[in-house]
Amino acid sequence: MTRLLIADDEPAPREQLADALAVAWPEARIVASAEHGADAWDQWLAHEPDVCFLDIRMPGLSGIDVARRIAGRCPVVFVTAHGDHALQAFDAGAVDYLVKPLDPARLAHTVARLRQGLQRPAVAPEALQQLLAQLAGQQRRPAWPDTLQAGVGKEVRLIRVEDVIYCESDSRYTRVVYSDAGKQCEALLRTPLKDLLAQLDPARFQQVHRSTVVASAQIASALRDDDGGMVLRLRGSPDTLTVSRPFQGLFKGQ
Amino acid sequence: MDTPNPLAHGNRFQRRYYRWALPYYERFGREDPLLRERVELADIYLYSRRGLVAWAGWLLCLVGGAAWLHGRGMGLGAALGVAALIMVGLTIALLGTWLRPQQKSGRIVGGFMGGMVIGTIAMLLGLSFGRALSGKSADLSSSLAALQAHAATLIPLGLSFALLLTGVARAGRSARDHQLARLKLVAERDAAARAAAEADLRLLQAQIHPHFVFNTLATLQHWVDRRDERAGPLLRELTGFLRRSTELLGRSVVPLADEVQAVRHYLAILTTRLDGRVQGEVHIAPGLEAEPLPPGLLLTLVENAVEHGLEPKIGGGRLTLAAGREPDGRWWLRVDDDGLGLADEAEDDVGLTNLRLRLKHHFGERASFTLQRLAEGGTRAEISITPEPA
Repeated sequence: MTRLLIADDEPAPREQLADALAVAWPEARIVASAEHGADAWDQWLAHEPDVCFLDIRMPGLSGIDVARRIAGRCPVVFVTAHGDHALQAFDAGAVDYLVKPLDPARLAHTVARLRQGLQRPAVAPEALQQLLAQLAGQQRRPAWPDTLQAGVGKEVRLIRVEDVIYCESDSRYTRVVYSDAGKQCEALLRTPLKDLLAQLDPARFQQVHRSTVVASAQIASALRDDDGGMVLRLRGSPDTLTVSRPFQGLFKGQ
Repeated sequence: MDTPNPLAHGNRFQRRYYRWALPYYERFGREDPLLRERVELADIYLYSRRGLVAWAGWLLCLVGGAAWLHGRGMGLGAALGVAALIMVGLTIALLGTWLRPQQKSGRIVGGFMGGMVIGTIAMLLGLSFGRALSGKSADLSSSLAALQAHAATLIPLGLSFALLLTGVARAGRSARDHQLARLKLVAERDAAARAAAEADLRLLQAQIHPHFVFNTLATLQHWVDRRDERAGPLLRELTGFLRRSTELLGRSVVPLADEVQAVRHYLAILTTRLDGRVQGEVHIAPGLEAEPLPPGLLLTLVENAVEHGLEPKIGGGRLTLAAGREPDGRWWLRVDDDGLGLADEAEDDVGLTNLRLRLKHHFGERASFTLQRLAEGGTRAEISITPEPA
């Protein structure tokens, strides 16, 4: 059974893709259906599907951003309304793309290619990452916010992003741990972590677990334990953070 | 050259010459396109009727020189030979200087002087050899004496020719500079024309809104497949949008009301597709309906707000289009969104660059365009237009 993730911010094309896949690939099952890019990435971490179908223009993270995070760990098919010129680079077979409205014959072709490809190792991940980085460079970035707003009782506290040590998912909220005049404080954000992730500059923040994001500058060391787990020690806080398996590759040691 | 070489379509002689010369032209062209042009221009002059004067003058000089040498006691054949040698040498020097004037004058004159010295020695040896053959004394000193007798004529002649060469080199250089300037002008004109054509094409593409149309078709396709009754109204809105936006194409100005109608269709389609996630409002103050605008500007602003502000934002968003007039007669158009604000270093994309250009082209200094972050989050795009003084 092949497990699929699909993502599109518009409901009708998302349903259309699901319907078309049910016909073109009956032995595959859609395990996650995401409504935006940040959701897609979170669901990827939760399900680790075999193949992803990603719309390119989506709120939160674009399809290209999500593909960069997946980093070649599963095949990605981009779905787009209009053949952006850059996508033609993918025609070489690095990654497939489909245009909306979907053409059943074209989808069948893609599915056939995927079925073959799943038995073979994927394309060189470095080349793929380079291509994706190039595509991401063509997107216009919104501004990264300077502050986060957290409700503490009746007070709305403004936390400077540069003071943040790490953020942790707390059911539908996010717990932010930050330093204030050298003291470690924490506050609760009403935004779920998966959505917050899209507002944090990936150059300054590193996700290390589905429910943890840490400021890269705060990471002091990564410790591997005997059970295959990994723990981070921080500079500005005595807390330790668990690194989940998909993120352990970030700390390989040279 | 801007025009084809007329020798290529001339009489039989000219055509044959052109066929012979073409490989040489091409070789010169590879080395230096300006040289090729100069050579071709010189050939066009020499091998057409106007050039006959030059040929006649050249022959006259040759005959005159030979007669002069003959009068000084040289045999007729020898006089003709020597005169021909000198004339060919001088012609090569002159033509070479004219065709490649970029060489330094010092080198040209130096080369000519060197040639004179070598030529003199060669002539001395030739004369001695000739005398030996004819049984006269092969004494070098007698040849030298014969040459000395003519030195008073030959040296000023040579010097004045060197002077002529520098003059030709200067004239050639100035002609070459003209050539260069003209070529640069032509290249600039071509580049400007290409840029304008590309801008037009991009504008046309943008006004067809392919991303928007195909996304809408994707929703429509699904609803038609599922027999969803929302398909009908959506199709009507899409038809309305396409009708409006294509009618705007190709007109130089459109009344504000027409643009606003296209925007209304656009927003209605977007709200339907996104299931209400994005909402739009339109407030146009009465009396502005007929204000002229270059077509597509307003849609560009709305698309920009959707693409960069609302689409990337998780959760709902609102877009407001408003137009109003100030007491001083100035009127403005605003597109506000509560989406993700602009990055500080955000640069204009193709659409906005085009918009600025077209505003400037159409209204000159009377129009201004600003893009600013709103304090409460989101972005305001504003076009402000001062009416033409009556």
